[in-house]
Amino acid sequence: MRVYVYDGSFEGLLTVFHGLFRDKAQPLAIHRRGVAAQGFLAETVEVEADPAKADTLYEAMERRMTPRAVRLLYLAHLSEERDGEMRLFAFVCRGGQLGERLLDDLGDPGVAVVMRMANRVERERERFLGLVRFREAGTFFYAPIEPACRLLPLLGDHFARRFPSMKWMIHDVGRKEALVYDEEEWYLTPCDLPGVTDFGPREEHYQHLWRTYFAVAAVENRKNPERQRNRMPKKTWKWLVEIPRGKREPGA
Amino acid sequence: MTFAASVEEFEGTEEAMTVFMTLSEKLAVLAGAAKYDVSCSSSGSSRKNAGGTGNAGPAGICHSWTEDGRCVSLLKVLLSNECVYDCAYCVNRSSNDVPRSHFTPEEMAELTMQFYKRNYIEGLFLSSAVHRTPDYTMEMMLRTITLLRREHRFSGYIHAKVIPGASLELASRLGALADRVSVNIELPSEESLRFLAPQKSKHSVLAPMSHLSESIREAAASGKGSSRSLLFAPAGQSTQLIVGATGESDFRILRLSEGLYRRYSLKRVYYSAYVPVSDDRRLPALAAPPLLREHRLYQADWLLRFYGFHPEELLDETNPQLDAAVDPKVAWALRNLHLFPLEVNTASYEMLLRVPGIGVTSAKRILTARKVRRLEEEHLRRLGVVLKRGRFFLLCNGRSLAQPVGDPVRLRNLLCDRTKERTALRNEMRRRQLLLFSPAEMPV
Repeated sequence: MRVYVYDGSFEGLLTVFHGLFRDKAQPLAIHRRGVAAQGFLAETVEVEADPAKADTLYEAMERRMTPRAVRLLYLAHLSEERDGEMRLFAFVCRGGQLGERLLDDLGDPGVAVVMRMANRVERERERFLGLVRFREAGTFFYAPIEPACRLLPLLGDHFARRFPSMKWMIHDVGRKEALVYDEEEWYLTPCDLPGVTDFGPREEHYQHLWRTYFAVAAVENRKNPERQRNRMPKKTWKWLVEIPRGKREPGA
Repeated sequence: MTFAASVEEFEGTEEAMTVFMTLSEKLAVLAGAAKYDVSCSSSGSSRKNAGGTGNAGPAGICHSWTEDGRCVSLLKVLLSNECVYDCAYCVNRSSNDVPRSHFTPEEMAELTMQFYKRNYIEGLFLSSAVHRTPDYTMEMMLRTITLLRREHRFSGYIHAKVIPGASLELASRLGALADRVSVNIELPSEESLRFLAPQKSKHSVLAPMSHLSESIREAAASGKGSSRSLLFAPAGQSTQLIVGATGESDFRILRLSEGLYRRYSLKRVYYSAYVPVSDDRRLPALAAPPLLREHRLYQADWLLRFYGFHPEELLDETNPQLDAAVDPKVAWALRNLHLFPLEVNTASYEMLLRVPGIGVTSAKRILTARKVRRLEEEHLRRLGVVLKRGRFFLLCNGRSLAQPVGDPVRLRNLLCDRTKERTALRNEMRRRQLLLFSPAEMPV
């Protein structure tokens, strides 16, 4: 058995799967390039993403397992969980057996675990639809975020529909990737900027107003910081305009 | 007075009468005055972007959570807190000595746009104190919302409050621009209204509510089958009741809510634990807002809306208050032990919903999963079904999930929401103790 290394993209992963099915092979591990390799005695195969192979498998899966199951697979992949790829592979194999009934078998451990991964991504996406904070920076609006899952591909449509006549950019600081919208369409691009923090007096003015609102809107005799942290974990505070600067770093 | 002339006066003379405040100070006053309104939902509308800024999604989005743990979805402010009414329970009553201010419609619209573009909010929740007259107040609100929709081409979510006593024509114009409208009942009976809010009446609340529900129904019907439906408050209407300021029982409150859902097709009834904002002798001296009671009422309200329960199944005249120690569904199940245990693999959806701990999601998952295989306990757990309470009421493939407890009293003890009860009690004790100290003696 071998260890397969790919570029981290969904296309890359499907290329790996494609090869495994063709060779009727069972992998020892599959992981993204750059993630610490395990089993250093095993043979390692570097797989380059191949759009044609990925498409073939994609369509075959849609026919065999339903488009909803493939969508779920895609979402689960964006969780970037450690060793998640092996679970995704098992999921597709089970899909080969169960076909269209795959997603009905909620009692199957392999199906349940992939659903949980996908749910985690969807929940974080929903949370970030609210938690993205744009800063007005000259001619465009800039928002740094640091989500646990790779959310950028899932945010483009929402913000393009909402702000079609603005130029904006959402920056996944941790993954060094940006989602850019140029008033016509959105695209993903590598982005190695440090998170920008100074935006001039006009932006400062509205940030101050928002902090004022945030502080005043809480009802004193209903204080419930536990519930607040539950809904809005401290790890998300770093880039939130409404949290006073001293409290934004985790643990501060 | 014409509309244009009234706006001019609003911006001229009125401005001179109030003390000058910066925008930030105004925001603090007018958001502080609006925060006791509990509604925050931005759901139910799918207004599309119309070339300008914004849209609304059916699910609604929370943008932040304040220190009280409540979600911030809409910018919730009063256009003015300068009130001619003197409702005893309200922080903005005319006899209360608090700073007063108002936004001009232009300021309000601009602030909303700037917040929205930064993704701070889903939209605006606009309410107001009764500034001069109900009609005058509504005209100012309409001016604000018209600016947003027409000048700023804003397609985000707008929730607008209808001022009791304003003309129905103005309420209609508001509904044509907003996503959701609401008229607050505030007090759950006519006697209480007469007692604490003498300038309001049952009629001044119910007349606009019924008028709006007609218009919403018509608009929704006009949309069926045609590509362009008439937009009139597409997210429907809601209302709010204050709990604990007056003596109505939970039974009476739930019956009122059910009536409102049925007669006026309200989307939501919100319950707001009375926060002591006044030492008026007509009001109870509460050490803290009755939050646990509010919580139980919300649970019961969900049972009415999504679980097919009727108020009469939960409470009756001899037993009119919800049990503080167990949630209303557990209380119902304990009175109906003869219906249990229920076999997971064959029970109907309706009955599954009545099992304590099983909600809409779990019930639907069970229905899906049992098509593929007979369900055992391990499968239930994998589906994410919470069995903490449910295990006493379920059978899996003929096997029970817990030692049977024959005695309802012992079973009730096992199902008690001990932590919730303890927390509520502890918080209340702490507040009482604080009240015993005068501020000078308070340990810092």
